[in-house]
Amino acid sequence: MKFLKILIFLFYFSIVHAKYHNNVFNEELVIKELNNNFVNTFFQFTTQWNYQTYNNDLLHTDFLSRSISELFLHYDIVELHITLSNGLWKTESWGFPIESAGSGGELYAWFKNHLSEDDIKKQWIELSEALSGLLCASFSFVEETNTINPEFSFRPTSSWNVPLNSSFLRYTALPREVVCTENLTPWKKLLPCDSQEGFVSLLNAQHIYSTNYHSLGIHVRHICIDQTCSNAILESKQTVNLVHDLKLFGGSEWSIRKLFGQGLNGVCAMSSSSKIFLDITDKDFEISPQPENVILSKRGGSESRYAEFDVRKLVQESKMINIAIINKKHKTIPITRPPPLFAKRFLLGTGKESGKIVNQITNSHYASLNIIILENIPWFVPIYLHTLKVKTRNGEIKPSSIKYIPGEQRKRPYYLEIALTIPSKTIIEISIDFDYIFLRWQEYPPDANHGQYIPAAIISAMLPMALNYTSAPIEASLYAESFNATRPSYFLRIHTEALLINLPTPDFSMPYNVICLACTVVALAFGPLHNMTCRILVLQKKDETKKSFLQRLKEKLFKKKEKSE
Amino acid sequence: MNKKLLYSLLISGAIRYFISISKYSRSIENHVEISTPLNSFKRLKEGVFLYDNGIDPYDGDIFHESPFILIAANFLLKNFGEFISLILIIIDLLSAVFIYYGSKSISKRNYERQQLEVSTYAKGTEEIQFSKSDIDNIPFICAFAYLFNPYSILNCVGQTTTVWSNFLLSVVIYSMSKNMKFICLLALAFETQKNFYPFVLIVPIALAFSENDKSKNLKRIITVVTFASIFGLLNYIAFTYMGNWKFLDSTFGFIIHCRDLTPNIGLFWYFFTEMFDHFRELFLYTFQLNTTILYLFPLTFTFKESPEFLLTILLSLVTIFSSYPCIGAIAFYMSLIPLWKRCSPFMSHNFIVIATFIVTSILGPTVYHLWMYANSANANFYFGVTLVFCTSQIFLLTDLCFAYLKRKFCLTNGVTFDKTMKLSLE
Repeated sequence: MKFLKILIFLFYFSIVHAKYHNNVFNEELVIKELNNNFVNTFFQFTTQWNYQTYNNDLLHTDFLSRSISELFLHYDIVELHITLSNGLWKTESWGFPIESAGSGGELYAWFKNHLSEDDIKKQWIELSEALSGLLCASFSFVEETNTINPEFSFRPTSSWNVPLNSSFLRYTALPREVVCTENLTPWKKLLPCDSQEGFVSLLNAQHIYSTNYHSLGIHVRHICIDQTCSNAILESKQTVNLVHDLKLFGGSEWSIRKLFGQGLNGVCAMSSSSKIFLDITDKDFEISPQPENVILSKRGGSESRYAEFDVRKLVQESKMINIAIINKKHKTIPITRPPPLFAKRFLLGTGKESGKIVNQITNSHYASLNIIILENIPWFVPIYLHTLKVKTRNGEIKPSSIKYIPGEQRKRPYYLEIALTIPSKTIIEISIDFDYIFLRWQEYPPDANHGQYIPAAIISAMLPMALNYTSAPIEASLYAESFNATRPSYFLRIHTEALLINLPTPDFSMPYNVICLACTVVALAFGPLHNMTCRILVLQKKDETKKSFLQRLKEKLFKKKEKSE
Repeated sequence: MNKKLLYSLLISGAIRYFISISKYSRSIENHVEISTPLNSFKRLKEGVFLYDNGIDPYDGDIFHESPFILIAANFLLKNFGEFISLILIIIDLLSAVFIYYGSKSISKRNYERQQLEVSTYAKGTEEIQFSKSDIDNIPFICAFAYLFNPYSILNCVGQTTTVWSNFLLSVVIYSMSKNMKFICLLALAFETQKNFYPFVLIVPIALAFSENDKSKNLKRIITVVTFASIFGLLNYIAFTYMGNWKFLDSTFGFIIHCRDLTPNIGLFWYFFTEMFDHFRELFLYTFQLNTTILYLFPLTFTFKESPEFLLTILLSLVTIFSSYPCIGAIAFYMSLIPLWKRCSPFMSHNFIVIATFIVTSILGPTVYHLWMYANSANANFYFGVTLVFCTSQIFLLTDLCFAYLKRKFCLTNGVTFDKTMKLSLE
């Protein structure tokens, strides 16, 4: 009996203990000056929650938003990634982003392995509808017609007890999506602190949407702690990636107050750490206030230095925190060194009959690189696989592997994944022909002459060195874990531009006219054919009383004259 | 083979060859009037490429040819890839040869039929009777009309698969006129598998095969049943080869549902682009009925004494009203019209028809270019031109039918009659 009591007590204690210690929330802000007077700010809010998987514990959330955990409960997801971005990350001059996102909305999720193909189909649509409501984004446009399951480009980052293959993955991109305040406000509400407290308070719509590039992200994954996965961590990373144009702030010196319109008013009370990292690699400026700590990060052959600010400590000294860059020295013009891998994407061809989609990928590294290119082309842009060419200046390259699922009108998109090796210091051009097709008039979006978007291509690579590489390792939860994180290779994912094509349009104003005219032509055949098959030819006396039109007209005129006389 | 035909073959072959090696061949190949989603060479290449790489070409949206064309093209493109345009030219010339010999025996049969009835003919109708020299003249005109028709030349240069279907149709006509039943039905089954609509030709063929038989109806039923079983067998062979039935939806389904709305010279594309969604099915099936069986029985009863004429009319009807018409198919039925040379005195719209053919053939590509490349016209312009083009074809067709009926009437009643009298339908 006594033993049982102890056991109950222990159990109770462990639950209470868990309640208080199983939630961790971290705020991080990474600031990096980019070339040509741009500043990149990257916010990452990480919530980790340890829960029991076996008893629907997902409904009893603390820090993590219940709406997110409910998604995981209802739709059997293992991992979920959402990004909503606007603008273009210029990889060539800005280097690799910490987190790459295609323009517009992008969504992909891994489902649990007990689901069947049909279940996943259903859950995926329901999930996207739920997200549509949750984030006020047009994820309700996600259908079978724009969903693919890429085989090579994506790998689960969760540690789930059963390894998942690509059949449990669903990916979609909505390049037409315009991201704005209505997405930011619900996004903020998913965080444990109110939008007035902590790093979130910097995210004012007015200042965010005047940036050159902005991207909101939500990345949620499972991490199993034990073999059976009865005990797991649900980790949610909410990120904001911004690129500010310093020209708008009058000069190259900047501060948090200038970029966001206000200083930092403290930390989120729930956060266990709130840190700002300022990249000071090869930079010649003074920082106010002085950083208390400088981190030297050696990673895969490159060295970078970060000034670290612990906002928890700073907040004890002053109420409003501002970090400013002053006394910038302009003695040298920085040499732009492009990252080892970057890409451009464009359309070729004139007219609206057929064209060519070209991806130009540059490898400026001294060794050859293996890359995977993922194309997700909508059904209304039929592509011809036999025209796929990978050209370099010295000839053609044969892709090492091609995965292709042809699209079907109004059913599924064209999915193409190419694996190839780019030789060192080479520019390759991957081109494929497509046709412009004619849609039904009700299928054109409003403002049809604006054109239709083709989602960005995704380029994935394992880089052998971390030059210019800023992302955190895949398994890492915090950005701080990327310091000194040397690995055998570094996983890189970059997005190209989305394309806009102008499909030929019908005249939207005349469906009735067209229907009438075409039916008239059909009737032109019907009339005579009906006549000649249902009647017989006979000789008939000409009707003498029948007069020609002119004669009748003459008679009428004469009669009138006679009358008037 | 006579010398005139040989020279025509050589000259028209040379024309086809020189255009196909010129720099214009590529742009000819991409013209919507020539290449439709159903017959374009680019799509054929894509289908063969996918098939070669282990992807089911019928899974996608690009390839809509029959599996037999896929197999044949796979073999040809792999082994004779460089000579494909030459092979197509030879096939096109062969079609002309088949048309020549087919129309020769049709003319002969027409003449023989006339000989049986000539005693009942009125005096002074020699002008509109088939003469003995027609047996030599008409076939040459038919072959000439095929060889030098700009439509068929462009079709051949465009390397469309309509070259194949024209060949199959010419075989159908040749074997029908020579009473080679099995070959005729086999060729028709192949052609039906490719284009679907030509199945209506089984009616004139059944009539032709039962002409000198005692138990006509039995014979006709046997012909139709044989055709159906050959057709079914072909599909089954295709199924065993492809491993699934997807090709049925990708070929017949694609034709019947008119899924691709790319502009072409027919009536379907703009009509179904602008169609309201809830009426789509209704109009789709109405149009398809109009193309296939609406006129089939009335015309059969009217022209049953001349299956060859019925065949000409049905073939032109299904070409005009098919969902993806192309000028290659038009060239084929036009080459059969000279068979009815003796009807020409009664054809009254010749000038209008020829003039609109010329005008629309020039105007069509022009406004298409303005729409697609110069951005200074819109879809309505091209639609207008295709509408007029269809109308002129319909005029040609109905005019020919009327001329046939009038000639038949005049043969027994005399060509000249009282000025106070008039021929009319009653």
